Amino acid sequence: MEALAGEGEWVRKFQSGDAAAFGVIMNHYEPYILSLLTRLAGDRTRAEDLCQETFIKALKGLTSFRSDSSLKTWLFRIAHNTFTDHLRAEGPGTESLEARAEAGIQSAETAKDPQARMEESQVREAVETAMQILPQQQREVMHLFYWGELSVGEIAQAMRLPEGTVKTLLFRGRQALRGHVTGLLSEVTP
Amino acid sequence: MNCQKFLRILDERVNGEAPPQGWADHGATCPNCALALRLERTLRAAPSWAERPRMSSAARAAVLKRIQSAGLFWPRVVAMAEESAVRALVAAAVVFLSFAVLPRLWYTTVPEGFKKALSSYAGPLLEGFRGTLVQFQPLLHQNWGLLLLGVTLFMVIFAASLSTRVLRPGRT
Repeated sequence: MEALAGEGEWVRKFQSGDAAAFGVIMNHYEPYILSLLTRLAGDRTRAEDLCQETFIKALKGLTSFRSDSSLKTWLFRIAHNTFTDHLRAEGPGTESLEARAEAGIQSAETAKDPQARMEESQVREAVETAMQILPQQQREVMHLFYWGELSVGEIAQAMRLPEGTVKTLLFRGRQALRGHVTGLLSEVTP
Repeated sequence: MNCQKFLRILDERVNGEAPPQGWADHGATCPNCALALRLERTLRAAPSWAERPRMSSAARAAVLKRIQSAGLFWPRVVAMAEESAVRALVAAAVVFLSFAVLPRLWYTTVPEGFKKALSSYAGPLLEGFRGTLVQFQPLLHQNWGLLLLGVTLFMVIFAASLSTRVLRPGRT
């Protein structure tokens, strides 16, 4: 992900009263934040609501933003917290994906040499589908690492997790994704 | 090279460093590892092929409308004041230390020869410092005098810092 050019300057402009500067910041980061939230929420409408909430929180927080962390890490952290609060408010039972993940791994184990005839678009489609089956934390870490191009350290900052935990989640996420993708592709190419 | 080792190296090659010998050969001959490698490459390329969604124009407008209605004036003033206060505190401490400590250090620790060599330059400056201190001396004998002096110094620097922040936001 490319950082916004002259990021610090835009932040200072906003802090000094230039409201349009926030529009520039939002315009740049909106696709990344909405992409993450769509991945996490699994529903575009809900993701848009969460994205809106994220930027409203950012709008208030940006007045006192210091450049201790990068703006993108800070925004991803707000998005992460917004989604976590939303999950908490919804209560337990919303994450029934682990069972589906198990099923994915089992079906993957039965797959035999499915890569021979597959197209790149099929792999991408399988990856997108498989990402939805991953448990929430793994999905978020995987998305931030591969789609958001954040480093392990930046993910740790955004999610307030130790770097070791991020590495473990990445490792498990990759393993699970391989299992799911193999399973999905074996269904496509029998 | 076995599959386990191949996948471990694939997972650890986060910075794109060169893999050991035999690694690529295994990837070319083992179908499962080839798939894992292909998947990793697809993931690495995700930013180039992934969809870049946008909020609806209504949702964007709702956020931007908040800028006007969210009452950002006071949070902005508070943030600016906080930042200026920290700067003013640091500056006040530096000024206080230079007034209180430097002349004492000059008279006690600097060797006489060095003092003589520098006296034509540093002498008038130190005399200036001392003159200023003398003016404030009666205040120090009053109750709360030192505190009052500190607060005055802080307020002067704070006002200067805040003015700079408001007038030249890009430079501070």
